[in-house]
Amino acid sequence: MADSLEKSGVEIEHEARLFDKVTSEKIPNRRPEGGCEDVTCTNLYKGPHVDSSEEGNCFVGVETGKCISEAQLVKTDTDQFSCSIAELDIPNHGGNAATRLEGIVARVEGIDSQGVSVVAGPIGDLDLEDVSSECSLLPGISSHCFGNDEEPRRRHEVEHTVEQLHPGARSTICHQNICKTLEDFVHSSSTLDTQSCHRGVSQNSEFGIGIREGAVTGTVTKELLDQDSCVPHPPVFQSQRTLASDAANIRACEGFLVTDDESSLTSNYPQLVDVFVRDKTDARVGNEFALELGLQERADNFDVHGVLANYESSLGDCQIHILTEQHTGPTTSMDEVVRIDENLSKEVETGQTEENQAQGELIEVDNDSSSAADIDEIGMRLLKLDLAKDESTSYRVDQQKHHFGKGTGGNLAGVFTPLPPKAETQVKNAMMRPKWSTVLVFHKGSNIEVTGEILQCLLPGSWLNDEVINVYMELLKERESREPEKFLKCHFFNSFFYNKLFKDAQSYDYQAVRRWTTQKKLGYNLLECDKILVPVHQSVHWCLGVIDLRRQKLLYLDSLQGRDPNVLNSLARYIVDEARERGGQDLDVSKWEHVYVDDIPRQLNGCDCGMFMLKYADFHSRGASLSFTQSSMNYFRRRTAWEILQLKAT
Amino acid sequence: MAGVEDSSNPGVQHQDEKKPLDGAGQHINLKVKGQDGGEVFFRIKSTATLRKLMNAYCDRQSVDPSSIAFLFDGRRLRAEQTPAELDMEDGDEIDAMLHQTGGASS
Repeated sequence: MADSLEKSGVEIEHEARLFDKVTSEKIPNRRPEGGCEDVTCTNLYKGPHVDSSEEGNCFVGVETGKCISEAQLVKTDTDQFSCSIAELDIPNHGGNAATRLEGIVARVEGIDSQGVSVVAGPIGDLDLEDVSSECSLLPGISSHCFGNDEEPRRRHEVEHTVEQLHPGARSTICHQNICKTLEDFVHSSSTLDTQSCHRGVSQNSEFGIGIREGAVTGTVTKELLDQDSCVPHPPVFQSQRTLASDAANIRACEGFLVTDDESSLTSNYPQLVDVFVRDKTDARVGNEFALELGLQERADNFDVHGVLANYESSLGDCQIHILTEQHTGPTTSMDEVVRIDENLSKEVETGQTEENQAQGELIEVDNDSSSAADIDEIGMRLLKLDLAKDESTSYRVDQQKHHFGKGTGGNLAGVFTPLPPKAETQVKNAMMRPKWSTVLVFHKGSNIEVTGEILQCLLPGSWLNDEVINVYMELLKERESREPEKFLKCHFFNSFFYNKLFKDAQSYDYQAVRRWTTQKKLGYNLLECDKILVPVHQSVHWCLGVIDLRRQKLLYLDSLQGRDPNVLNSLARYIVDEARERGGQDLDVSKWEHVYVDDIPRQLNGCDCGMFMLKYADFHSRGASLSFTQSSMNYFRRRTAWEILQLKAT
Repeated sequence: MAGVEDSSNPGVQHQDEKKPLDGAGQHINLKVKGQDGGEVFFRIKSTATLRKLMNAYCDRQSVDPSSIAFLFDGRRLRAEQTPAELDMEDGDEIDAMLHQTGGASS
């Protein structure tokens, strides 16, 4: 075992260098001049952020702020659709284009190695027939309405329409894609993902392969490519070499990789996250995402094999999440992985293992100077290690978390522990459409009934609603009351508090909330808390305000780095008025610092702000630094759903 | 006898509560305040459930009851609750809040 590791290590090192070279040669540091014709496949991956959006030629962001492509914006004209349609996630980028393009439906057309064209139109112009005809014409399509979520009903209408046309497909117009069959997946992923680095197919209900948002990805076995496809198959599939170099160009993306060649994984994809291993003769699909995508049964039936590596490395925030599969056979154990992992950490030299706990728990590695290549090496070698293991029919995914570069204090035990398979199934079932009208749980303290329809906002890609947020806030409070020694004393306001305090009237109104926080209602004095957490609903965006009474600070946490002085000013006045009202004391907050925290985990898509907000609150309540990233959001969504179903946050 | 009266439109009468409660309930005036600042006054028997008040408010505002969260002093109200069990007093204010959703900045 040690020998083979040694060997593979050498091999990987070699590969990694090769990729670095390729990367530096191919990726320009700045936006290329000229129109989309000049954009090559390679720099699509590492293109510029949104910086303009003129009709005609514009630069639009494609996917998660990392993968930006240049595109041509033209008026809606369905005649122009020919083959593939993908979604653009323009609001992600928060820049000019986001504003300018708000409320349009953008569709990507004619992707090839030369670039991307976009067809766009106002959301109001989105014709349901239009969408449906596209869908029937082109299975595996995604259409994407975004921006104007003041029209949630309209969005639902669209979703319904698509669903009717495609029973069985979990249609999600907003933020998600539809993919019915493996062929669809092949078509859309081969066209969309590898070439343009779009968020790709997010689910395949038949086969359980998918590409997570932010995705790179998708290579598929060549056999699966439909020769009659109207989609020109991109050249990346022609050789592993090209694919590898493309993969190397993609950093900090999430995605799945489906390949027929397991051995190539270990050497060729140092940058990829979430690796799926798929055998060409039989489906061997595994990983938490099979579960996430509602494929528990399938996953159980498959001979799950291979290693699932989920790690992310980026320049700003180095974090590795490694998912390893644990076999129950006597010859392998998690201990072994941990031990080897320790060794690897030492080899990296820059890493110092602070904690190395039992399986599934957190491993903190202080690593200020470790390069991405080092990190990749660890990941890949672990991956190799697991690939070498014997197969086992039963499977269980265990997870180790490696956090680099960020010290974390506070109580983080179990924060990233994977849900047991039963929990995954339960979560999945709870969100199935037939259960939408069913009241799943009733939270007595908050008087909130959670139906399937409410809970389904925790499906990947959906926007979080107030009910889920408010129930979760209550659960966080109950968690603290249950174990006061482990958590800071916090008060969690509901999402309507700030509306009453300031937002609805656009003027500060203490009287509107004066009666919310009597000692009798709370059972404690608000001013005795360490922190007061205030969800802030900014029209279509969730943020968090924090009154840190101990440190005498007011914090505003926005996963998209927005700033709203009204929030902090109102909260400052509030705490003064509250102190006067409750205790008759005069609180001087003039010296309190107002902080728009920008060193926080950032949202890299257009849908996860609510989840980020909840986790900011969760981690604040733990007294922990915010040591998570976008890549954990889908896990957090499932975990939150599970916690709500249990009416217990842990 | 009406369970709920929309006092700003006294002509509208509503049906009695399904569950007859003891006759001790007194009528109290409650105010429902919308997010636009608009206020609607209701007169309701303190032992009657709030369902009718909620439905009457939503009818009046032409909104779907499922799209509104009613709050009393920041706490969610359930349709089955009564003013009496909530210790509501004459003149108390109920907030009618639209449900919220969010995913990205506008």
